[in-house]
This record gives sequence, structure tokens and C-alpha cells, in this order.
Amino acid sequence: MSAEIQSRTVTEQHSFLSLGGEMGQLIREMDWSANPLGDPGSWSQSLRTIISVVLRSKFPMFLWWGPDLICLYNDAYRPSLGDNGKHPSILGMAAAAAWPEIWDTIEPLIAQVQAGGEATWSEDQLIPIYRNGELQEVYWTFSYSPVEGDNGQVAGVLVICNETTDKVLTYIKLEESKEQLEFAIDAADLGTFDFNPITNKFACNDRLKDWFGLPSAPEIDLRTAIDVMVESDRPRVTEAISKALDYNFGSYDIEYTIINPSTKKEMVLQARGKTWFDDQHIAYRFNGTVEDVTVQVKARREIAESEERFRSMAEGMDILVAVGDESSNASYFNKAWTDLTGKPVADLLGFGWSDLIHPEDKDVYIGSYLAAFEKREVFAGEFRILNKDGNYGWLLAKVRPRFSPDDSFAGYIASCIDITDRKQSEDAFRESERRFRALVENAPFPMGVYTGKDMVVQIINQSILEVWGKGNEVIGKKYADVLPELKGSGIYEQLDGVYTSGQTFEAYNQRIELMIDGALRPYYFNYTFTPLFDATGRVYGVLNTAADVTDLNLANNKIEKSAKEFMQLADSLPAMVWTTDPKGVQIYASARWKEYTGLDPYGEASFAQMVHPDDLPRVIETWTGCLATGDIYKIEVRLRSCTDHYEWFYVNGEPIKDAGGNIEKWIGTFTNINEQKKATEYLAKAFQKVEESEKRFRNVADSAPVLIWLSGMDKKCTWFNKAWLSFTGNPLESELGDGWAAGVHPDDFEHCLETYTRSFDNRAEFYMEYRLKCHTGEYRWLSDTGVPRFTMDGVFEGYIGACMDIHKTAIYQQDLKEKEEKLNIVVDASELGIWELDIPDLKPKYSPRYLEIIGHTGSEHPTHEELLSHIHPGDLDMRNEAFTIAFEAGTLHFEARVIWADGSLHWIDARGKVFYDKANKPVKMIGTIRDITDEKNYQEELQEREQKFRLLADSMPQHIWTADPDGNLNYFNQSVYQYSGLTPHQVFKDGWLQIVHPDDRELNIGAWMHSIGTGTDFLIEHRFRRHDGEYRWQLSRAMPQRDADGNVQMWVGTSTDIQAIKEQDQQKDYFISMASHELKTPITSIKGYVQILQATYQDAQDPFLIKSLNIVDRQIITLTNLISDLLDLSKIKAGSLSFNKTDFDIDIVIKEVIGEVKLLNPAHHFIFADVCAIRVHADKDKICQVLINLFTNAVKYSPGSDEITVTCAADDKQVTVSVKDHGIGISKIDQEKIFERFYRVEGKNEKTFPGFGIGLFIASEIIYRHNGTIGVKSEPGKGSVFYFTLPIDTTS
Amino acid sequence: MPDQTNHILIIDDNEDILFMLQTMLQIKGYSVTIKKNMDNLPEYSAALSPGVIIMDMLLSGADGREVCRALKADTTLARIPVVMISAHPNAREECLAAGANYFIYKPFEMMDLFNTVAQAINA
Repeated sequence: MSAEIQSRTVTEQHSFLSLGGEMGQLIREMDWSANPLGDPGSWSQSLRTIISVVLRSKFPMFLWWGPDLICLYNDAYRPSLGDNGKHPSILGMAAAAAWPEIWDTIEPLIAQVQAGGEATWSEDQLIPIYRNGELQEVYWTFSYSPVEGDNGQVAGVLVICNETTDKVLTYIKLEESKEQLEFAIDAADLGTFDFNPITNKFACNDRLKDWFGLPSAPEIDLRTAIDVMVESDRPRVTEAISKALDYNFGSYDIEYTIINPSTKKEMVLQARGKTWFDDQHIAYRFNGTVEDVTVQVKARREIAESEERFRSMAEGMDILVAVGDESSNASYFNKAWTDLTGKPVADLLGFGWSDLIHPEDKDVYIGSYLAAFEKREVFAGEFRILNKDGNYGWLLAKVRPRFSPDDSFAGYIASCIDITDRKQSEDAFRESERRFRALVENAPFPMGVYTGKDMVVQIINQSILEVWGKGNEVIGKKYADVLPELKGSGIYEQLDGVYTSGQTFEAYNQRIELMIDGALRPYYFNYTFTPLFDATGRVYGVLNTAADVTDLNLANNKIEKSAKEFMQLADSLPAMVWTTDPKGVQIYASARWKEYTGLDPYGEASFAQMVHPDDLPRVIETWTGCLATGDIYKIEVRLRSCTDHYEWFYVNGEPIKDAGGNIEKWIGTFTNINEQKKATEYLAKAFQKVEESEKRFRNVADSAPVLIWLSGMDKKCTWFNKAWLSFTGNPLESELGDGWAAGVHPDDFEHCLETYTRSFDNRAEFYMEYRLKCHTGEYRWLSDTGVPRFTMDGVFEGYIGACMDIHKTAIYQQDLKEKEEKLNIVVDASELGIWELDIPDLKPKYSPRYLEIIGHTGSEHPTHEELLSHIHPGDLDMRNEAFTIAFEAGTLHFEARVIWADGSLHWIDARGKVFYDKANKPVKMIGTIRDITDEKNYQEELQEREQKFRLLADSMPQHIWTADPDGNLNYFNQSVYQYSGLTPHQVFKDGWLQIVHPDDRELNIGAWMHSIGTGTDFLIEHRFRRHDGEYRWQLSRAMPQRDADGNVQMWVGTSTDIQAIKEQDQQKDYFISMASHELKTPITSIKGYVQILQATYQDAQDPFLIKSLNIVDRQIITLTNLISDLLDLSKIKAGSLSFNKTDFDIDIVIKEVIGEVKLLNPAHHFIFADVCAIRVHADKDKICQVLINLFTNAVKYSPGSDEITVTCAADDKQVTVSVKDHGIGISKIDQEKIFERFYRVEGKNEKTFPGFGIGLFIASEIIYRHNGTIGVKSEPGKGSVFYFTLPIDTTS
Repeated sequence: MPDQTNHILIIDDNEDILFMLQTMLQIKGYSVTIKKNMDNLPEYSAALSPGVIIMDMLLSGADGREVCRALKADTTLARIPVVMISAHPNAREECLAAGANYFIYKPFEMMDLFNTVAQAINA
């Protein structure tokens, strides 16, 4: 049974294997008999089910089945196995054998699934597998799931997987692209720098540091980097940098060479940068990139060198070399040209050279050139050219096309040799021919010359015409036509034989029948047919001589004469003519021979002596051969001249045979072909050099990583290197000409074209940036540097450009620019003028704002002196002093007046920083100036005001003084000095406190410090010493002066002499004191007697008597209290209120006082909750006095209410006693005043509430003297709460 | 020598006050001797040997504080308690400093006088 039939049977039998594509078929066709799984017919139901699922799935699946983990998989999985790998061999194979390379990885996973029955899930796992003929790194996302067998045990593992290699790789790429910024710089292999012109320092990336061998510091001095450059480049780079920092230039593009100080590695770097200017055109930042162009530059130099070599070679040659471009214009002429023509190269360029061609030759030559040019063919031509001596000389030009290595046509190169000499010799030939003709014509024997194959009668003499019986009409006719009667005589054949063989034919006593006068007549002749050779040794004709044998003697004579004439002729020829005997022994040489060789022509070895040793064997061999065979002798050979140098000659010799055909002699010529030979060699070398140079350039350019293009004179691009083509993805043809422009971003095109065209027309270098479409379709930023190409003679021949992919850099720089702009705004906002001064030559630089500030107009670039002239003469010394200090201290600061051009006065604030060289000499200052005119004016105004204030203050009688915010007194008016008798010096030296009474000083200082510290008004009475030593009382007040923000600016104080008032007050107090004392005596009596009466009549029945005595007693108490208050008041004012402090329980005292007040005011109801004992240390009587005052006030001012609540509470620091009434209340304004001295409120409330103020004033004084507080909370109509606190002395 | 413990010597140049004090103390049951000046007070006191001396601080022509000092300087008289009376401010401190045993401000409550005298006698 065939396999096909078998498989069909399986298919029919096992529907679970139907479908399944390729894998289904493979499984069906496989021979399972030896497999552990056995024949599909025997497969378990579970396997059948799962395999039918797998095969039908469009999702990649793989199944391991049975204890051996036999591999089965579907079509969707199959591509993952690649080609030349596991497929299809692993089908039916055990897993361990099928996956040896990853078995270590997957075996644990399989085991885990088999053991635990749990499915696994792995994502983007790197599992390299063998496929496509190699071990490949492949990423997978896969799950291993257990598959149960018929018995419910795990019988297989199903792998559902997906290859995620592409995804993972893309992700990795994405990850990489996150580092885009650095990557851009990295990928571009660029160094970056960021220079701060103000500090003269720059930051740069690690690569640049590495190149330069710079320290790892974040900021590096520019000089450090400059020092790494080769010495010859330093001035150029320094100049380029300062140019870049100049607003008029701003850009930086320079190539220089560095030598790393540690590695000594030499690098050529291309640095490009841009400077950022503020609105004043001051450079504040200068950054850019540095590219390693060592390879390119070296290549460029090599190309230039090879071109140079070609040029110097061409220049050194005495052949004329010209190079034309692909549009047929001549673009190069070597020195030989100018030497010959006496014209400068410029006159020859293009088609200028053609004007020098002889008018007769011009059209022919130009025509040949252009015709050859069209076809790119090689051609040669001769023409006459006007020499500098005014004569025409002959040139032989050999012109051939040049091709670039890519086989594109590049133009023509022409090498010309001066063939004037040859031409002259040709002329001489012609002349000799003329004379030859004359010789022939005048020969006394028959002589004729027939030329060409057809033997056209050329020259004929009368003698032969007579023989022939013809006239001159035979000239120009064929020999055979002239003498048809000779047909059959063999003469035609003889002539032809001479012409073709070059061998002379001679005949003796030959009978010839000639047609004379219409009848054939017999004649007997001796005749000779001699071949005539041209300069190249070619036979061009036959010389026929004949003689009547009867006149032989005569004829012999004539021949002798003829031979002599021949020699004369030969001697006049420019070529060397020689003859030898048949054995080769030289028997004659023309005069030229001797001239050239200086040798005796008849010496035997003379020829061998003059032949170049290298050529001699060849010559001997050829010559010997010719002698033996009689063949024409032709050879090119070098011959030594009498001046001992060798030149090339073309040698031509042929045997002269006698009539019997025996060689009689050899006649030959030497033609000098040295020039041709040399020219040809030079040309070959020159072509080779040019080609090599071009080729080398293109090879280098092709291998360069930069994009390179070339353009011709017509601005069209003629070539792009491989890097360009692979960037754009376009073939060369589509980029050529203007084709490349199609890839430029539309937004950049105009700028790009404009830059190119403008630079091209000016032959200027250019740098531009534009976006070019990359082969991916993305536009990428390129930098493009173009430089004009010149030939060695300075002839422009187009442009060469190099582009760099600066896409990332451009984007990065854009970002930078934005940041710079932000910075710019900040600088602008500061309104600063910026300046820079070179110290040694005092050369200033400044921003426009600077000139604005100093008010300079007129000259656009003022000198240092001009700038100085703006400074107010009065400030010049100060300004110079500031500079002197600056040179030592390093920083400059001064304020000065400047005079503007319009004469107005302004103030400037100048600041600067000095920069030093290595020798610590100041080399430069950079700084700013600010217009502070407004500030200054304000200050001056202040001073003026201050002046006015002083004048005013000095004229006042009061003492007036001021102090700074810290409390230092800084001004006293005249009155102070007059009063104290002190001088200002004494006051400021020993202090103002000296005039204060010693007893008052402590109080004075305390109060003053309190005011300074809190900013509250200062008010004090103290005594000042007058000039006569008397202390007089002063009332001093001071108030702070504040600015708009509330900050204390100064204190202004006054002191008024209150001595008189004080004295009056003291008298009054003394009076009050005495009066109250005197009053007490009668009151004591009255009170005493009333008490005696009360005691005496306490049991009396007269109610009136009792009541009267009680009233008297009560009024006496009131009176006593009033007197007591009056006395206390005078004591307070005198400062003599004394305290007798004891420890007592205040709660008990409150109760006692309530009891007393209740006695006097029985109608009122006091509420006082019992509290636990509160011990205080105080003057008990005075505290009672306070309580009485508060209680009686509460009673007094609550006419409509009878309830008074008293509370007493304590914490660990103080006790608070409050008294609440429900009376009329107190307004806010009054609340502030009720604790003041009575006379202040007197008159306002007196009528309504007599004695209102005295008690509270005394009470507050008592409480304050106990270091307690007293206060009130009240609203009109809602009653009041008076309270006071006393400290609890915890130490006692 | 009779028991003079309850005998009180009062010195004041103001007759009204002197009579008032005398009346009050007699009401209270004390025996009282009055004197209108400070003349020879030490000798007077030595002879009388009162239980308490009550005197005004300032009398015309005499300073009670000096007299008090003289009394207290005399060892035989120093034991007699002295109660000084005055309306003058700061009188308390000055009198006590002069050696007075008690002090009462004018005007005063009769009860205060009684308490003070009782205290002095029982001291």
C-alpha cells in the first residue's frame, strides 16, 4: 500500500486529524508506529480532543503529550520555528530532545504544571531558540496549561504562545529613545560647550572634556581649553570667539587642531556656535557643538595634496595641460600655457584660449573638439597658437574625456605639445620636395616621380617627356593611362612592386616600345624605380630615372651629379639621413647626424655607440634581420646626443637594389620623436594622477560618515556620496542637478536656496541648517557647510558641501533657545547697562543700554576717554579711586554723576568684576551700570527736607531731638545746647544721658527702651541739668515716624521745661496733704464724739437721736474716705505711696468689705459664692480700698438694679476678682479713660458722677504697684464687670 | 504701789481729742490720766507708772517720736507700752521706728482704740 493511500485511510479513520493545514497533513502522513504515542487510532480520547482543538486554532499552540512529552504543534505556531530549524523534525519528538537549548529553562515550568496542575503565564520572556540556521534571541509571551488525560491525571502540557520579539525590541528602542537628548549629541558624536562671556568660563559635555583632557569641574576657564589647541591655531580661534561674541557676527564656525595634553592625541575639531544677545546686543551666552573632523580633514588634506601633486606636476611639465569641465569650458591651464602664450590663466578660461588660435585653424579645431565632446571621444588636432613673441607656433593637442569613478563624465583634459619644430621640419620637407621637384624637372636625363598606388604622374622632366613623346598634360594622370602601350611589358608590375615593397627596381638595356607619333618604336633603356618615403617611412611614390644606354657615360656623369645633389638635399633635411653598404656599414650620414651625435658618421661602431644600451640588443637583432632579408628596417630607438642625453628616434631604412635585384646600399632616416614620446608619457602619467586624485577623493568621501555633495560651476549638483544617498534613500541620478532640492522641507527651501545662491555668487563659504527628507519619510535637521572649490590656479569650479544630521541637536537647541529667551527677559527687566573693559589697552565694550544710561550720543563706538568724559568732573577722583581699589579687591562699586549729551545730570551705580591673568594682573573688567537718578533725586529731596526740618527745629524754644529706629539719638536742636551749655561734640561724645538727673536715669532708660522695643509713644517727666547746674523738670515726648509699611523710620522727640508747673503741682500736693491732715483732726473729734454718743445712747428710746447719730457717723466715713483718697492721690503724685504688704486670705477680706459696704448700702444685694482660702501677699488696707471702690461704684452706677455679683477665682499664678453689676454700663471711649488721672476726665463726668475718676485711678495705681492688672468689660445699658488680678506669690 | 495696769496716760495738746479719748476709755472702765504736753514725760511716767501711754505724734513744740525714743531708752520705762496716734501720712512707720508699740491713724473707730489698748495691757 502506498503512503498516500495509507494517509487517506488515516484521515478517513480519524476525523480529529482532518483539516489542520500543513501540520494536520504532516501528522496524518507521519509513521507513528515506532512513536511512544502509537498509531493515532490508538490515541486516547483526551489527546484526540485536544489535538483537534490545536490543529484548528489560528492561535499559535504547542502540545507536549504523554510521559515523554511528545511535541505536536499547529500551523499558527510553525512560523516561530523559522526556516532551517526544528520544523518539521521535532514533530513527534520528545521535548527534551526537541528543545535541548532551552530545556533548562522550560523543564521546571513543565514540571510545575505537571505536578501542581496550575497554569503558568510568562510575558516577554527571552528564550533563544535554534532557527533559520542559528541560535536566535526570541522573546515569547506564553502560558503552560495542564491537559488532563482520560484518567483525570495531567497527561500533557498545552503551550499557547506568541512570539513578541518585535514588540520587545520596539519597546527596548522606545526605552532608548527616552534618552533622546543625550543620544542626539552622543549619536552625532558631538562635543557641546556653553560659554558664559561674563565669567569667561564654559561648561561642556564629557566628550569634549575627554577630547581636550579638561578637568571634571562643572565650569572651566576658556583659557584652559585654548591652551590645548596647537599654538598656530590659538590666535585664530581667539579671534573667532571674540567675533562670535560681537553682535555684528554672532556666529562661530571654525576648524582647529588640538593636542590632548595627557594622551598627546591630535584631533582636528570643527566647532560651531551661536551667541545669544540681549536687547542691548550684549552677549550673555555662547554655546555650540564641536565635531571631530579629524578623518574628514585628513581626507580633505590628502585630496588637496594629491591635487596639489597633480598640479605641481602639470605646472612643472613643459607640455601644455588644460582641463575642461563637463560643460566644455576650460577650467584649468598649467604654467606651460601661460609661458607659451604670455596670457594670464583668466584670459584662457572658458573658451578664452580659442581666441589665440590662428584664424585659419580655429573653426576646424573647435569643431573637432565640440564634435568629440558630444560623443565623449578622444581626439587629436593640430593648430597654430599665438605665442607671446607675436608669432604663431604649432600645437598638437591630444584631448580625452575624464570620467569620475562613478563613470559620470567630468569634462576633458587636453595635453598639447609644441610641434612648431616638427611643423618647421615638415615645411622644410615641403621645401626640399620643391627643390626635389626642381631637381627632377631640371635633370638632364629622364626623370619622373609617380605617387600613390595608381602611380599618378607627379613630377616629370622635359627629358622624359621627350622620350615619351608627350607634353605636360601627362601630369596628374596615371602612369598606365599615359603609357598604355607598356601593358604587358611588366613595367606596371615593376612599379607596383617598388611601391608596395619599398625596394628599388633597376633594369639594364631593357627594350621598351613606346608609342611615338602614333607608331610603336623600340628603345633601350637602363632605368631605375626608386621608392620615395615620407617622414614616417611610408612609401608614397616612385622615382623613375632612365638612361639611354647609348649615352651611358653621359648618363653616369649625370647620376654622379645627382648623387651629390641628393646628399646636399639630404643634408638640408631636418631628419638625419644615412646610407650604408649592403652589409650595413655606414657610408653616408647627413649633416644632421653629426650635429646630433657629434660622431664620425663613417666610424664603424659609431651607430652602436650612440644607441641607448637598453635598446642596443633590439636594434642589432632587427638590423641584422633586415640585412639578411632585405626587409625594410623600422625601429624606435633612443640615441645619445653629443650633449650626452638620449632622445627617441624613429629609424627607417630600406635597401636600394640594383637592376639585378641585389642590394646595393641602404638608405634611411632618423626622425626625432622624442617630444611625442615624452608628451605621451607625461600625459599618461597626468591622467593617472588626475584619476587617482579624483578616485581617492570619492572613495574617501564615500566612506565619510558625513553627507557630502559636489556642485559644478552651474550650481547644479554633480555628485553625492553614499552617506547622502543612504540618508535620502534616493539613487544618485534622482539627486543630481537640482533633484536633491525636492527633499528639502518646504518651509526651509527658500532660505536654503537663497543661502546657497548668494554664497555661490560670492564664492563664499556658507553654513545653513535645513530639514531634509530622510529615507524613512521623516524630515530631519541637517547642518550643511559649503565651501567653494578652486583649482590650483584659483579657478572656481563649483562647491563642495558636507552635511551633518543635527536633528536632535537642533531640537535641543530650540529648547535651549526658549530657555535663553526667558533668561533674556530677566536681563531686560533689570534695565542694566553692561560693559566690558580690556585693562591693558582700555578698550571698552558696552551694550546700547549702557550708552543710553550715560547719555552718550554721537559717535557710535566711543572710546574709553569719550566715555570717561561723561563722568562729572567732581566725581572723577572718586571713580579713579574706586578702580584702584577694584584692582586689588576684585570688585568695583561706585556711584557717580554723569552728564548727558543734552547737559542734564544723572546718577549711575556702577559695579564690576575684575578678571586676572595667570600673573595675577588685571586683564579685563566686566560689569553693569544702573541708572539711579530717581533714587538719588529722592535722597536729595529727603536731605533738603531734613535741612528744612533742622532749620525749623533750631528756631523752636523747646528741646527737639531725633533718634534712629534703634533708639540712638542723632540730633538735638539748638535749644538743647543753649540749655545744657554743652557743645554738640560734648553731647555726642559723652551722651545725652549726662544731662539727665542721676535719679531719673534708670527710669528714663527703661521707658525709652520700652518705647523703642514696642514702637509705642515715649512720655516721661524727668530732670535735665541746666548750664548753671540746676536740674529742671522736663516733660519729654517722642513719637515714631513710620513709612508706608508701618516700619519705624525715626523718632522725633521734644522736651518741654515743666519746672514751673512741677513746682506749682508740688505746692498743690503739699497743700492737699497738709489740708487733708488738718481736716482729719476735727473729723477725728466729730467721729469720736458721735461714737461716744452712740455708745452712751444706744439704749435710748429716742429714734430720731439714734438715726441722726447713725447718719452723722456714715457721712463721717464718706468724708474720711474722700480725704483719704485725696491724700493717696497726692502721695501717688509725689511717688510716696507706700505699701505694707502682709499675707492674708483675700476671700475673707472680700467678705468683710462686702459686709462693710452692705452696712452703708443695705438696699443692695451682694452675691458672693464661698471659695476656698486664697492667700495673697499684698497691702491689705490698700486692697480693701480697691474693693471698696469697686463695690461702691457698682452700687453707685446701678440705680435701677440691686444685684451685684462678686467672684474670686485663682489659678497657680494669679487671683482674679470681678465685680459685676447690672447698671448703666460704660461706653468704649470711657472704658479707656476711667483708669486715668482724675483731672483728665474731670469736667466731663463730674456733674453726673462726682468723684468718679479718683477712686479708680487710685485703685489702678494700687493694683499696678502690686504687679497686677485691672480692667473693665462693659456695654452701655448692660452693666459692667470690673476686675483686677493679683499675682500669687508661690515662693512665700 | 497700786496696780496701775489699767491706768492709762493720754498726752495730746488738742483738748477736744484729749477729752474724747478720756471719755471713751473711762466708758470702757479704764482709769485715765491726761497730760497736755510732753514736758518731763519720763519722770512723769516713772512717777505715775501707767499700764499704757497713748500720745499724739506731733504736739506743738514737741515731737512724740523723740519722746518715745527717750522713754524706750530708759530701762525702767521701756516696758510701758506706747500707743501713738496721728493723722499724718507715713506716721505709722515713723512712730513704730521710734519705738512705739502700737499706732492708730486718725480718725479711728472707737472699737479699734479699745482693741489696741486691751492688746497693749494684756501683752
